[in-house]
Amino acid sequence: MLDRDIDTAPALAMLTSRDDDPFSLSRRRFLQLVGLGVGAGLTGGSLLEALGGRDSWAAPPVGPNDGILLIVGMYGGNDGFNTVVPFNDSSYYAQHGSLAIPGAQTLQLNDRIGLNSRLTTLKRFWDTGQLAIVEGVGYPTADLSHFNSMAIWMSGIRSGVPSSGWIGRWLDGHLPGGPDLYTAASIGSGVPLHMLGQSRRATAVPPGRPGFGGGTSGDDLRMYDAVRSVAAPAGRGPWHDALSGAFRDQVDVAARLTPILPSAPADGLVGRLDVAARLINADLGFRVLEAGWGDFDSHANQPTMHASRMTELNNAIEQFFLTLDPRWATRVTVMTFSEFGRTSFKNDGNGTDHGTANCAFVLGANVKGGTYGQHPNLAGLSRWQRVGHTVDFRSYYTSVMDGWLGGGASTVLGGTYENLGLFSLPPGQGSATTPISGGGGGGSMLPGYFVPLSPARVADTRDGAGGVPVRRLGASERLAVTIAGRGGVPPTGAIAVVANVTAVDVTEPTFLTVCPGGAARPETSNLNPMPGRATPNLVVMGIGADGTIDVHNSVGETNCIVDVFGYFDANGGDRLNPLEPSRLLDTRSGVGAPSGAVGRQQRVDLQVTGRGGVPGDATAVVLNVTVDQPTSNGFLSIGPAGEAIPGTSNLNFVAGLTVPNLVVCKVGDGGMVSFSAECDSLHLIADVFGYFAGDTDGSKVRTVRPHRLLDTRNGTGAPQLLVGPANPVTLQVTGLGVVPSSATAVVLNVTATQVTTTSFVTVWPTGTAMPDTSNLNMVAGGTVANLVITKLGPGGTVDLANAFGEAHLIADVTGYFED
Amino acid sequence: MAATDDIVHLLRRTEYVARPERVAALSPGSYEAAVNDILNVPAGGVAIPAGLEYHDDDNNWNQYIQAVQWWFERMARTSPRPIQEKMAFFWHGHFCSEWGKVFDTGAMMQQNKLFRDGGLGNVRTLAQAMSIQPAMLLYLDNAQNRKNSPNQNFGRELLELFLLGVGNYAEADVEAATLAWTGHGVNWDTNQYVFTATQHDYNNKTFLGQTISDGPDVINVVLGSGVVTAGANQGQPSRVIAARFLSKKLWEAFAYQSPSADIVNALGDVLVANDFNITPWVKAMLMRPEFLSTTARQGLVKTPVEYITGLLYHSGYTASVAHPEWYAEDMGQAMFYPPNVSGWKVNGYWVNASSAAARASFASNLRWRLQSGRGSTPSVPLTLRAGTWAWSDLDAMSSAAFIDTLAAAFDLQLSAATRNALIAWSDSEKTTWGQRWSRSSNALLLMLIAPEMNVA
Repeated sequence: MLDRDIDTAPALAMLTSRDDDPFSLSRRRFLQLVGLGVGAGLTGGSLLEALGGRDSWAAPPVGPNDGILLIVGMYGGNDGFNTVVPFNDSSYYAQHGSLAIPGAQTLQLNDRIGLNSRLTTLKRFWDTGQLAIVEGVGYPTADLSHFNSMAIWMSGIRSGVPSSGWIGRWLDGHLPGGPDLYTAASIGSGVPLHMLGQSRRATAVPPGRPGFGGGTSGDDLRMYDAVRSVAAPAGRGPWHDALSGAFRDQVDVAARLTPILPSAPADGLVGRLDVAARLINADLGFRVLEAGWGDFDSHANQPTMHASRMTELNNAIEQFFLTLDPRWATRVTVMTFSEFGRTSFKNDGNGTDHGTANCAFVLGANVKGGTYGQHPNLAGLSRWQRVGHTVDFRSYYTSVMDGWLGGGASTVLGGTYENLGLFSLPPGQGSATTPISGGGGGGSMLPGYFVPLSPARVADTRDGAGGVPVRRLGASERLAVTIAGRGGVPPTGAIAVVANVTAVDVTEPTFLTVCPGGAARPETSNLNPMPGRATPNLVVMGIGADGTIDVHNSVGETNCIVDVFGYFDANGGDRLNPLEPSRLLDTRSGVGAPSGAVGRQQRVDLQVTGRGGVPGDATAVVLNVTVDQPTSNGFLSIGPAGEAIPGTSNLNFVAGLTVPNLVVCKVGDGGMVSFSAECDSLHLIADVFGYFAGDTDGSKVRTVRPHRLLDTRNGTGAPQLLVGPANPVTLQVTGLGVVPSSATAVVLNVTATQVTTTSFVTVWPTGTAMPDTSNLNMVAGGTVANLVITKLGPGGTVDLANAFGEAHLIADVTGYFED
Repeated sequence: MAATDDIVHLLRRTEYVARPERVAALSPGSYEAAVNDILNVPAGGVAIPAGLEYHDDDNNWNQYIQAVQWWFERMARTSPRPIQEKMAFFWHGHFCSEWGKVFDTGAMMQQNKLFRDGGLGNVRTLAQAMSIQPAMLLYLDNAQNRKNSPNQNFGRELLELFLLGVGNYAEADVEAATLAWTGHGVNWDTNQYVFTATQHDYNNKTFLGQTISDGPDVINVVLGSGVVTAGANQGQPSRVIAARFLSKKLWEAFAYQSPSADIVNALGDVLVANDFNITPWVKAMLMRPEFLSTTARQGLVKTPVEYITGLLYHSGYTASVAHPEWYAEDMGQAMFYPPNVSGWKVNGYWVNASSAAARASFASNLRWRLQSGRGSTPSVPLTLRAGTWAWSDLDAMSSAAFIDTLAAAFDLQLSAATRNALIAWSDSEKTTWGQRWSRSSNALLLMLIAPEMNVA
């Protein structure tokens, strides 16, 4: 341990990651300063021996009752007095002087304390009973050195030279399984002491994408493949093979993490906690995540400096819960720590000096809100006296380890300390939600059951149906379409809608994005309309809290029509049973109907039950319907058999072109659905992809914030290459922070663009034979989209193939199904 | 006349890289003559560079950068006998001090000079000298080791990690060694060594069965008349056990891990027989037939410092341009910052994904520099230490010729596994209209991270 403290300036430099300044010391360096190994520098080499010279990374998913912990380090020594303000303590005002915050300027929590006014997000957790404030936490015989005090806090050991951290030892002894790259992560460039054990350690995950192994250009991918393809054994001894294995691991890990990580991370702690939430969402197995920042060492100019830190903390925690998928709410807890507090007396430089006991925050859906410990007693202190602690830091750790991480505190800490009882329920129990959530906006926290409807129009800008303005949607304009309470959808309880959105009368090529009402417009698309034709597409979309979905236009003007075919209800209904695709109807060859073209308003009743795996009790079917060889422009309406042909449309077509669209249709009389077209002659093709039934098995929908999983134009999800017959795409859908591994089927909007020739795209579950079906029909130069509901292959992947020529493929996910 | 591949292996382990001119100069003679030449370091010592003689509190970080870059340049280019730097780094990782804790540029550089100038001298002399340098007195707290409040940090590590090895002494020996070193400290004003008689314990102590008084006696007894007081070696002369302890570490730094007892004992005998003189000991190691065995040739992974040194040499970029200090830390080996008093380990210690990423990051940086002249008008050819190549000539080569040319330029004897992978990759860089621009650029990176570049 150091016997001399280092001045504030170099201390701060050492706490600063070298991201911006290559000459400053990183936290890794800081840890080396306290005489500890980091990364490769573990003392015994036991880690790598345990790994057999290789990192291994088999990641079990996080169990339903496993707690996940996010640790936020506030380095430099946070002024706890101005974080949780004791506004009734006259000693505080006497000693903190001009730095003291008046009670009226705090977010008052009770008759005694108030939060710093910047901590509005934490106040919302307090108001919902989900913020625990541990007051007066510290350790015996305070050490005023940043380094020594941090080493004490990080190690969880009060005396002696630490060689491991408290989370590290918990990983060593209390997690089953072998060493794993995906058990614990430090978001940043190094791994601090608390995340280092004797045999296990956290993985350092940079907030941006990995440099080597994370590229997505064809050049990079071919180079990584070269790294992967070095054969082993190479006949040059074990170290040669271990080295080629390490580089292979690196390109694999980088490829795994890159799609999860943002291409342009937000600055500072906000960006790092955003990444932490993404890692949790991805369900890679992470149990503990860590991010720390400073500088809190406010010897001078404290009012500005401390306020900035409070804002950063508040915004970062808000971002964390905004990004975190609400499904994880009852399994995630956030805790803070700082190496010490500050002096209760203001110094001569408008600041405070190194202090002792401090406050800490614990927040999350299953945290038992309230205060713990006692606020430090300031009465009678002299200028250089410092407050005593009322809660031992090991008691704080015990409360988290035994209360949230499943135990092990007495072994990890080498003694028994009081459990403060910070949690109202164990991990995964209950159904509490956090006051800030949304999975980025638009994700459903509850699963939805399908309720099929007879088709109904709920919006039409041509005539104002549904109360929308009677005018075309302008450039970058948003149309809010009320779903709840319309067209058979109940006013409450519906969490997602199945609707067909049609763009007509467009003035220039544009694209439309549909998303849950009130959500920020995502970087996705649903329709790619062109002038001179109507363009429909089905959406399965979460309904916003206000009961609407939003349709965003991009450029030019367009009319917009929305027809609903069913909705998903949280309270009960039918479940999806995805099927491997099969063809139920083809009038060109007499499948499902007589061979021959279909005439204008010639009703075609298609038997769907008892065929292609659709059982007799199916209430609705998922069909991809294609119109072929239409002799004129027109549209196709589909509805349940036995009812009048509805005044809605599913598919709009142009003379001579092949156009598909996904259809979810209620099954009518005799297990049939009916087709009727406004066109003198056309052929109809229908492929079934699944059905809904009131079974106890089958899948419920969960919607997500629309998210782009695939874009071969920029290498998202697949190599940055045009897709042709020789290079079908296997798209990883699960494990990327959007769709969990429990998903059985996925709702994808697939778009083809930069098409070189007339062709079609087929989407099917990986691991099954490519079916004789199509999802998307394209012509040269066009951009077309279609919704796809498909089963997932065993690894959570689907395959996409382009039959002819080349095209770029894009896929956006809007929801998924799970059992 | 020695086998060329023996000379190449010998030079790689003792001089970081097998410089062609050194191979040419040493191959005509015998292997032993080559060993003698390598160990024939210039007399007179190497001065501490200007600007690093004294600590500058306001400029400490820049002093650190300067020290690291200067040492890398010594390793990669400027030392006439780079084994001096190999040995200096060996002792740096053995008698550890750490820049941040010592926080005195002058003290760290004095220690570095001792390890360089005396690294092939005598173990006893070296140990005595390093014990009373401020770098060690501060790092292991002997500056606070006083008669009335002993601090065992140095006394314990001197036995456990520096000279004898754990398990060969009793706790009483640690206590005796600690008391013997009391009073040897640092003047807090000048940061220079000072002996404070009032803080020294003048009583006689029993240490490894001998009666001692002062600190230097501890080293003299361990390497002299002491007797092991604990463990399996109890009763044996401590100098023998110490010599074996050091010999194992030397062998593992230059040849391979876990040498047989025969090798360790034989080298230990050489060290004792030569009164702990280092040069004959190192020579004996290099002359062992096992040093030329396949096990030895395949036995070591380059440390980050060795890897960087090799890349600086081959690329021709100076440390001041390539900034290895940024990357060495990410690779896990910041010079002057050993992770703890036991220093760095070997082999598996350096083989993991994140360390691989850091090596690739450095290699990629050099790669971009190397190919940056390609787009200039006129195009600047690829220029390496081994020669220059016009990009158009490289582009015109078949995959096999291209890979073989670059491998030779980096002095890599590629395994079939690597060569086949790289040729197949190079083929994939062909398109219907020619070579992709990425071939030459990415080939440089693939060469610089090849397993063959990462083994010592």
